[in-house]
Amino acid sequence: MCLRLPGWPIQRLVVAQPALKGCAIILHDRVPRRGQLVVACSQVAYRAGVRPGMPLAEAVACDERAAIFAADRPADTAALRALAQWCERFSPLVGLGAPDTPSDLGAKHVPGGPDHLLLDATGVAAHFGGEAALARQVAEAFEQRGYCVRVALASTLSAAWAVARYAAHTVPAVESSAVVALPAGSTYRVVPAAAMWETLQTLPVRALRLPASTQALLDELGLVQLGQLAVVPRAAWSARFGDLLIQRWDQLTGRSHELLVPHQPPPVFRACQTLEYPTSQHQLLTAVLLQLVQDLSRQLVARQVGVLELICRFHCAPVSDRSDRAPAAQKGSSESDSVAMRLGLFQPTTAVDHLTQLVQLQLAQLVLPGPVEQLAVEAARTAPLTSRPQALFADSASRAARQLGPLVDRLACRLGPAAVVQPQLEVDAQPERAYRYQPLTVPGRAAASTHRAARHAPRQPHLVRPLHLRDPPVPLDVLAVLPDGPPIGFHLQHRAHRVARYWGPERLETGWWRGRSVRRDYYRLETDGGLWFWIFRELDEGQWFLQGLFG
Amino acid sequence: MRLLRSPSPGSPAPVSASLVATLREQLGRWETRRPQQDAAPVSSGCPALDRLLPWGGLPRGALVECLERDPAVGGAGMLALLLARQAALPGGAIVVLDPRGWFYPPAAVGLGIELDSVLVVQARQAGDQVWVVDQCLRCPAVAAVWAPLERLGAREFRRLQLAAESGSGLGLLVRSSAARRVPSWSDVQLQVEPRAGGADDVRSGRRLQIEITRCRHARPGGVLELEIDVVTGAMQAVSRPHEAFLVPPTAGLADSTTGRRSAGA
Repeated sequence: MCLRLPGWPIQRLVVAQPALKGCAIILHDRVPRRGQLVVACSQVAYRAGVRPGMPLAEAVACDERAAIFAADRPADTAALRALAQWCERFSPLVGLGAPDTPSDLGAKHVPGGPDHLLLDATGVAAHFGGEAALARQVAEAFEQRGYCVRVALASTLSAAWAVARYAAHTVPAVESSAVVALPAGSTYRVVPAAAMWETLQTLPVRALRLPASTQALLDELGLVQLGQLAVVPRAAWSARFGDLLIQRWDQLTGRSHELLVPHQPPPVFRACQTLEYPTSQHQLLTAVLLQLVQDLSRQLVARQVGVLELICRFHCAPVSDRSDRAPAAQKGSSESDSVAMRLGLFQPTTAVDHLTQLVQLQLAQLVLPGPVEQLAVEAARTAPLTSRPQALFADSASRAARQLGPLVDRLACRLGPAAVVQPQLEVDAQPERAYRYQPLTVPGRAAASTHRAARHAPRQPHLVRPLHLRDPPVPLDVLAVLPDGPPIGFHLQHRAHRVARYWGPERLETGWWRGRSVRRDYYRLETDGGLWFWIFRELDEGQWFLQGLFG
Repeated sequence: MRLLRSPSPGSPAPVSASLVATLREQLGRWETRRPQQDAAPVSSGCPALDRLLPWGGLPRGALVECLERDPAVGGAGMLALLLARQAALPGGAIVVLDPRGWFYPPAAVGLGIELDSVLVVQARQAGDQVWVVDQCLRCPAVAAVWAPLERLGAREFRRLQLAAESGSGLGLLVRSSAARRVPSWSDVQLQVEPRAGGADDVRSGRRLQIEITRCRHARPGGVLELEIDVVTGAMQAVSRPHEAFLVPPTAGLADSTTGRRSAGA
């Protein structure tokens, strides 16, 4: 369900200041390189000739008695957010709609804020006596608060938005999805699933919320209504208009899902304790932290989420307090230092023992600037806990595999997240760039995608590579019979090596687009002592380097 | 203890195979080692090398030292990584300790190791390195730990041995040959010597001579020369294994290491 509040900034002003009702109102804002422009205007001002996008001076000339206000977008959004909160009486899931795209308003567009709310009406209509009754009650509730609203209820979010934004909300209508008007101008419209396409096909193509370039192309081709676009073979859409069109179409028609982002921020999991007297005692701090972690774990378990990043904050008392409390009190200094301790985790967990162990590991390394007076533990990142059914005869291998996560956490906790990594192959000719390390406990780790990429990275089984790579390569004194020929001996760390066998050259070159190109001839050498080295000759300068040792 | 006393020098008793076996078993019981009896040993990937080891492979929950004369090029690192691959064949992670940041993952791929199962830990401090190996060996999800540990005190070594016993992984310690001169808590110690191949043979792989310089419950001294196919990572013996001459099991009592071990346990 979509609730559109036409001219939302004006409506907000009128509701906040009822004296403005029926007056000409002009909202203006500074637009970069265009000066002060009209952002929104009331119906009275519109009738007087004021248009959004026109310079403020021109608007004032049209209607000299108009009340002029500066646009306040944060206040608009905050008020809409408050309305969303209030709308939770109709649906458990309420979100703020995205602002209109530039293509909706044309070239004279002045960027605006969101002006509609999206409600998930799945399964809730029955509690209000049906879909039509729900839509009517929503519209009436808004009218009672003094707002004029256009309510549209359809099978998909996109369709509801399109109907609220573009469908005619005039009365009377003799369609299957009839528009019903309320006394103060609000309307509601329910689009039954069976009649959805009939309603949608008459809507303009702009209802798909496409980028301006795609919209211009559709205009050029004369595709104005969705019904006209449906005639064009779907196979040609992607090539002509891009993949976004298909995605939006599928969202509109219900073939793919659209995400409703709730207006409420995710819950904050936090536990805090203020100490009666500031202390530096390690044992005491550990005991308090243990208690806080237990508190936090209880909160997490209640929501069935596990922590992925834990932050422990230590608010330390001012340094002057330590030496002499009385003078500090006289000065009234309240400057305190705060130390934060971050723990990244490999997989979401609520296990108190594990978290406590990690906290203790890091606490041992922490240097506090003074006695601690307040401790706080917060789950900065969380993820749903994966439910794991208990197998009656669980094999030891699956039990053992679960122990890897705690191990990674412990290692990363003591050594730092960058020190515990998983290697992945990269497609690159230059040996130094043929792999990369993926830290396992850092925020934003895209586990699924990167692992998939790594699995599909081409394996190069026929390339023999050294176990140790020197980066940067070490310059080497090499003896060769021919200037461009293979080496017959070299000196390394004051020791002469004679080449018994060699394999190569293997020429590696990188593309010009990477800056200075790399051109090298690699040789794998076996010395008369049986040692294996990987060396190369820089083709441009003829200099030899040692790059690899075969372990 | 009485049974383990060496025979009196005046009566040269013939050493029968059954007596040797009995004594070995008693010596093994006297030692504190509790190997993972139920777990199948890890095959080294080379049947000839497996035959030189009393377990028919490497025991799980054990420490294996691979010694080389030339650090990073002597062949011990490659052999240890191949043993790690064998240990991880049934599943489990391979932890690579990379103190200097030199480890090159494409080499592991070339030797037939799946990078999905590899975890690289970069620990610069010596204290951290021992701690990392200790933690990883204790974790049942880790099949093998590949660690170049140069300096290792007796106390730390013992700690690692206990960690290996509590887990089921294989601790592969790549060390310099100087480690032969100091007491060791490893279960198997392999001295790796690189051997040059024939100058005219460009196809042959890397040749290494492996000498078992220490082996719990068995005679050390077995020598084998094997060749590693560096393209596939396959190992095969190129010489007949030279078994060590029979060493009476009681000779271990004269070893200062054994005494210290019992004291530490």
